[in-house]
Amino acid sequence: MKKTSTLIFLILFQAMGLSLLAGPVLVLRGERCDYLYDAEGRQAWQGTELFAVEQWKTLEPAYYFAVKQSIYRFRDGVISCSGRDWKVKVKDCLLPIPSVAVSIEGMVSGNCIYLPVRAGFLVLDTRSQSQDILTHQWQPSQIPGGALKLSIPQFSGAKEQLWSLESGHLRHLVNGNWKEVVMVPEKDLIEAHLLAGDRFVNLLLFKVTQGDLGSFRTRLLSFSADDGHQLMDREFGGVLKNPAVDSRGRVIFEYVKASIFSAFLGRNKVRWRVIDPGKNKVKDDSVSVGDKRRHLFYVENKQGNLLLVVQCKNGDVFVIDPFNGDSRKLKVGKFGYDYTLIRGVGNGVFYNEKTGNRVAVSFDAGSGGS
Amino acid sequence: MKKLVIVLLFLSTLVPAVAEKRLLSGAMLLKKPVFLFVDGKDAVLEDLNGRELYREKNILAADMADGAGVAFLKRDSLVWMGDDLQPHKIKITGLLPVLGLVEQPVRLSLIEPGLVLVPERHPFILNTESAAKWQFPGCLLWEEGEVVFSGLRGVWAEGNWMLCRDGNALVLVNRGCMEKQLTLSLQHSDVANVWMEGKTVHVLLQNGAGYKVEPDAKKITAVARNRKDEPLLRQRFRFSGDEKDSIVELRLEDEGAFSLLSAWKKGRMKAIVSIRLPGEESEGYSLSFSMKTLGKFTFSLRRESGALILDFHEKDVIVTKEKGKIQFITVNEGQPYAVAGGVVYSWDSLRGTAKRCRLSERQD
Repeated sequence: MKKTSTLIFLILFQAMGLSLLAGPVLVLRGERCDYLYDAEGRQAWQGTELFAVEQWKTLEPAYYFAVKQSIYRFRDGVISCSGRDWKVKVKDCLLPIPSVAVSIEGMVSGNCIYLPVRAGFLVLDTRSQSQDILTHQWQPSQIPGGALKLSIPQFSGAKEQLWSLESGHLRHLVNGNWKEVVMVPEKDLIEAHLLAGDRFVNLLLFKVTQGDLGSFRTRLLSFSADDGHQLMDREFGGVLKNPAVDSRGRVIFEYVKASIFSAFLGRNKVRWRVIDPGKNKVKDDSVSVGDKRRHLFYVENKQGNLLLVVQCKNGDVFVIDPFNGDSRKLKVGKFGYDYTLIRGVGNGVFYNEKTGNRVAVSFDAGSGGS
Repeated sequence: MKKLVIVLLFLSTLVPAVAEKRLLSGAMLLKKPVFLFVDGKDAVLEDLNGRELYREKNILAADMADGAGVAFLKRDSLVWMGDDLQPHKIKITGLLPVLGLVEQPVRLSLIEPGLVLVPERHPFILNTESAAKWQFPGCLLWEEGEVVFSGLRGVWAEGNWMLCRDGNALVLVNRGCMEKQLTLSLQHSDVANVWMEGKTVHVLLQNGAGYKVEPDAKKITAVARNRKDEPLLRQRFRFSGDEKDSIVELRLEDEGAFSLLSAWKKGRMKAIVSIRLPGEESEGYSLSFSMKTLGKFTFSLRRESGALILDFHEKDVIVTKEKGKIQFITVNEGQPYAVAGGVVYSWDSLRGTAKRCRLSERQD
């Protein structure tokens, strides 16, 4: 009999995982906004907008994803759409058969889903209802003791552009062919992320140098989304976390001041850094939020700019415009840790997984933070 | 000059033959060590003298285990055989697509005593005696941008029972009829070990908690974690030749934030493996390993034919019991080796077969 146990200690950064939910309600986390799908109630929320979901009566074990107020389900080799009588057969999908309802994350970009199949990726354009195969050379690697591992590239893109990050290579899809943009140096690397907007594509490299605790570094490489030429290559010291990108491709980080002084006195502060690769500008700002900050979400507004939504330890919620530093407290009430935010565009729903309670909130300026 | 030509000729015939043949694994068959080699696209079983016992052509993967036998995976079938080396063929209609990507034959965990995994599109575990089947999608996992085929590594077979990891659950199945008896929550942790005492199945989770299960009575008793005593791993393990289990524990040498930081500074960590042989006092051994990937260190522990293997990323440390004493053998990453009956063998390039690793002093 064999037995394997693997322990992984991620010292600082937690990788994004899948969200699993046993109940009849499934949270579908997306690139720009999230969905809350209630199968039995035949409805779903995209932020505060409620829409009907004709199919299906129950939340079957399957993969689910959402694009523009339609829920899609991938089950038994068939992708079907909640709103239309449209089915796509998928042959030789490399994903395992799910035993519970699973949200597909990291495979939906724009209107397309990139499903790993033997020949590469089945690219399904949900808008034009067309499908295509993006060829990819898979390279399974052996794990000692009789297991096999396959890495799936990260995809990101906007405006018909597609970029991929896989085993240390950033690639750009040009006229159906992958063009190598840059090779990621592996030295001291903890994690690499790809974040794309309309104008800029950003590669984030989180690094730490051995032997020195103060040596967390984040390298940002930015490229023009049009022709792939490099716009920026900067390395920042200190701990940067929660990276996000607005619709143009500007990068926002939360940054942590690593000092004993700020550990005791600066706990009520939210600090962030905005990087504009077009102007080669870096701007730091901070706001005091009254209590210790616990959760941070990025919500996009109708103009495609990002808002910072900060959920504090005492349940207060603050909305911050990271570009001009304006901040205000939401007046609707308090949301403890049992609430999570389902992000919409300029709005959202605070959702309590245990009680099923949902509270719609608007983040628009001028609405008084309703 | 003539000598040199002869040597070159000899080498030129030797090199391709050596390059094509690879040592995959070993196990005890009919109480003798037997080795599994890949020879081009074929799998070959050989004994210690290099005598070929069996050959299966055009394979994708193979596996062998003590008391279980050998399994060969082909594109359209799975061939398994027990100690008698009589092949049994199971037709595969539609192979799991991930396995279709394999180009060079690999080792996949496919066989356990009385069980084989048939990796069809809807994979199932077959009880080789009763022919009962259990649908087992849990051999293929999706986690953090990776698809992992773990095969039977997430399956524990104890007595009449089989425990399968499936998502956040551990399903206890009656092996004879392959019917579900009960389900345990994994508490978002992983299984550290499963063993049986009498009619009770013990499950230890990596978070330190566990269960005592009496499957016949369908009785589950949750065991809380002991916060004062949390080794990284705790295993019951029977070394080759023993009649009772030993208890093996692994913990970091110095716990606490400061020693972690100092280990990080040095780039090396120290762990203590302590082994309590049945009826004896516990003995501790110190192992040092490098944190190859910064920010995280990974190791795994697995069992192979009467030995324990600690895989520390850059090297494997094989714990065996020979001549009544615990022995540690270190093999660097990428070096082929096999374990059979608690003895470690390496690839002998001169003879083209397996040779016994010389017992040496511990080297960390």
